[in-house]
Amino acid sequence: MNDIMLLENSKKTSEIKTVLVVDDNKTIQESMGFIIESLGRKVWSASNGEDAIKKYQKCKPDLVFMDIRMPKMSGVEAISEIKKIDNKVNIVIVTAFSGDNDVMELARTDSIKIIDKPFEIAEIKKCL
Amino acid sequence: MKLRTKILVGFMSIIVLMGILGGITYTNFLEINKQFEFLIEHDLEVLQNAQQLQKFIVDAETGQRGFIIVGEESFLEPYYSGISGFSELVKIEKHLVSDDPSQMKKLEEIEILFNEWKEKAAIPEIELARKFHTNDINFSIIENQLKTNVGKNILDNIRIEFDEFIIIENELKNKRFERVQEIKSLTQINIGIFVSIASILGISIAMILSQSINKSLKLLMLGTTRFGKGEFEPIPITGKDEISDLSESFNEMAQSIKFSNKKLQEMNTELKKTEILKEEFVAMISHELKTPLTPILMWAGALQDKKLMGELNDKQTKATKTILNCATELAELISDIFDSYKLDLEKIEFSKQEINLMELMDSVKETAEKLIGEHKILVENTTNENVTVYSDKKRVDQIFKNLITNAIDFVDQDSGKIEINASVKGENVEFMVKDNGVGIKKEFQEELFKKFYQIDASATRKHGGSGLGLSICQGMINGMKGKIWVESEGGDGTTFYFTLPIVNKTTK
Repeated sequence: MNDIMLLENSKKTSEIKTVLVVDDNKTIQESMGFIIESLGRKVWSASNGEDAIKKYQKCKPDLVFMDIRMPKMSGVEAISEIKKIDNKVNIVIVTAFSGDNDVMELARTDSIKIIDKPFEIAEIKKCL
Repeated sequence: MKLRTKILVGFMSIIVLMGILGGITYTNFLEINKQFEFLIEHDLEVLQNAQQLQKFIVDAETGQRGFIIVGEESFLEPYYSGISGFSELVKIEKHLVSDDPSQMKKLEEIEILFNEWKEKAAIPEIELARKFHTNDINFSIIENQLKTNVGKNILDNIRIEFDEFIIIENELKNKRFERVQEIKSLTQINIGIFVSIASILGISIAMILSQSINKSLKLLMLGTTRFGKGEFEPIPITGKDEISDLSESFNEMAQSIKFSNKKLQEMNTELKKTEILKEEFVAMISHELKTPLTPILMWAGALQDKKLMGELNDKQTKATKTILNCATELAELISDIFDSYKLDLEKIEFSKQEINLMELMDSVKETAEKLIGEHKILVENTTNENVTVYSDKKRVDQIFKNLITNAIDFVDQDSGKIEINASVKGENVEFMVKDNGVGIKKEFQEELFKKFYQIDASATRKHGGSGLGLSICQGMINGMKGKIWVESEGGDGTTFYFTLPIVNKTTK
């Protein structure tokens, strides 16, 4: 049900051409970047919330993959900041802490999709 | 003052008052009794005797007159009996009035007068009459004697004296009666006054007592009520009685409970801190384990994707597949351990989404087929309920995945059959995962939902897994207010059932 709702809310799959990957772990950041680029999308990367906001303002990507626990600024804060800039932003949370209260709250109120770490590539493909 | 003393003093004063009242009443009763006795035994006797004495005098006079007229000796009998009766009775009468000098004097006077009558009138007249009747003298001599009126005068005097005597005696009798009446009313007044005083005193003592008891009891009650609410303030102690003793011991108890409570709270805070640290530690471990697994899974997955990484040879394909399977298994194990840990702490929160039963069971079937892979196991979905339930989809999926993984492990890889079904049972949906596998013996069924339980724990066991799956299923189902149970006759397949509340039942 969530998937269906998200697809309805988000832009058409074909419209996603640019992606911002936010993760403090460099390996994950690079791996995701490589795979998404291989799938024919333009990718930017950020290592924390602050960085993510700056990159979002600058690049205005069609989709953001957002980690939650990061130094400087958490993903939850970054999402609320980015939402202030662009209310219709298309965000997918990628986290090992999907059970955290604030993450569940975000998923519930803002209907944001969550991908649990570790994940299969199919999960990423579904979002593009 | 001690409560006991207070009550004792109160009752004693009432008892003493009642005792005094009883004493006075008894004395009055004795007095009345005495007066009545006197009235009956003494006064009435005196009056009766006085009448009898008068009668004796009349008898003597009558006898004497008769003799004078008739001259027969027999006529003198009443005379003699009157005289002797008088002299005997007057002694008794004198004794009776001996306490009253004036009456005594009157009696003595009467006695003297009677003797005078006897000496001066009766005896000389009888002598003359006797001489007249023997014809010794003329009647004129007697007539002369009688005409002197000596006897009559004396007898008149006696009558007057007697009348006075009786009047005085009657007056005395009346006085005594009045006295009895007086004592009677005095006793009534006494009883009235004493009963009133005793009642007022009793009520006052009872009020003072109950007030003082009530006051201390109220304080104690207030203290215990506050104590019940977790406030350990000491109770103010007033006076020195049993209640204040009780209050004191209560205060001591409250103090020691307060102290141990504080200690417990401190310990609890410490424990909570440790608990939080532990939770954070487990979360961190889980994160740190999942983080390196993420790129492993991603790359292993990517390697399988020809479009992404190009064609692999057979050896490379096999290696990649093994890496992917093991990494997936490891990821699931980490997930299970973390879930199990959170379930124990009741820290898992369940969300609620609209779930259409038909769609849910279709997707469960897809998941099952994906898990079965290349094996020839048939999956059949017999659901026929187009109903929407409100539950945590992710968790329901997880439960099904666990149950189906178990079922796949226990059925024959070539002829296995798994049936899934969901049906509405009252306020709940009952889900079913049925297999035609080896079944579970009754003795194992109860243990099944325990953590780390393996039916076959031997090293060569066919069926894998951490042993956490069913315990997690049960924890989650309980968390969502449902139930899980198993039905199996050993060797004849196994059926797992679980229920979840529909919450708001809406039919499309």
